[in-house]
Amino acid sequence: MEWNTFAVACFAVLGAGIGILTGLGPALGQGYAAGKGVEAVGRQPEAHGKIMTTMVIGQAIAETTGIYALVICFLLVGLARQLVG
Amino acid sequence: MDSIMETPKIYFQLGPFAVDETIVALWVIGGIMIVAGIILSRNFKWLPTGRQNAVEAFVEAIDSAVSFVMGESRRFFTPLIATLIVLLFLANTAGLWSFGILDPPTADINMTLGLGIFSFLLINGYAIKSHGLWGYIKGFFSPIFLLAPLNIVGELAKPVSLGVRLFGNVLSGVVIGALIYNAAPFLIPIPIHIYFDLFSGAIQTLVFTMLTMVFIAMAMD
Repeated sequence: MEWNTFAVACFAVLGAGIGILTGLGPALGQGYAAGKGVEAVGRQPEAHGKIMTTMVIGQAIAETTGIYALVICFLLVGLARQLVG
Repeated sequence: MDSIMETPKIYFQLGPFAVDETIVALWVIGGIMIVAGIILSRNFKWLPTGRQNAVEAFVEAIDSAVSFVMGESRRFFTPLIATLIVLLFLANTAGLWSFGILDPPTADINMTLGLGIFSFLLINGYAIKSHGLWGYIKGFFSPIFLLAPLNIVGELAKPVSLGVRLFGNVLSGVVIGALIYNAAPFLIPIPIHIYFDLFSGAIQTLVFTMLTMVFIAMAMD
């Protein structure tokens, strides 16, 4: 294999690994939302259902940035596989 | 799907269109929806029993959600939203109810971006309908004309974000499922299916339809 191709494949995989660190952001956000949800349920146990739905939908939207990073990582790994063959 | 980001397998060529796994899965889902619609809505009575009760509860739940999110005057969106919910839920859980014969069609970016573009057309179509073309164009130059590029990019980002969010979630479920099946094919994948297919599929269905509803309502206000 040519050196350039090898280097590109290497750095693509490395980039995918680094890109997954984006998970830090959504994890913090979702944890914060879950904590606030627990607080809200503690304060108002009868509104449990509504709080749960709102919290989960909010978390799913907060997850979006992490999912973008995941898609980019998949693309990078796919590129590396294509180059290595 | 045995490898990551494999393009869907093409079955045959129909004129200029390649008929691949995604399209076949969508045909199956469409068939299920039509047959279920015909069977479930047959001979309704004035006093509902059994099956009719379930159908009415489903329709009423979606109707009340639509009138809660979009407003009482926009309840005519209920059929559209209900169709989207059923379609997306069946599509996200396709790997589960077809016993692994079908891949979820929403793990194909063409399908999810298509749905995103559909939402985009709906949002902008209803914005033009309720504000008029001049009011719609003027909306991009508010609150100050300098923000026009930002507003336009924000509008164009909506279908991409809707499509890629759904695609990424379902694809990650499929990929992790494949990894688990390689590592531990017996009994262990069951909770994985419950989480990634049922829970994640239902949540992403809700998120997609909820965002579509909110965007349309925001564009119409």
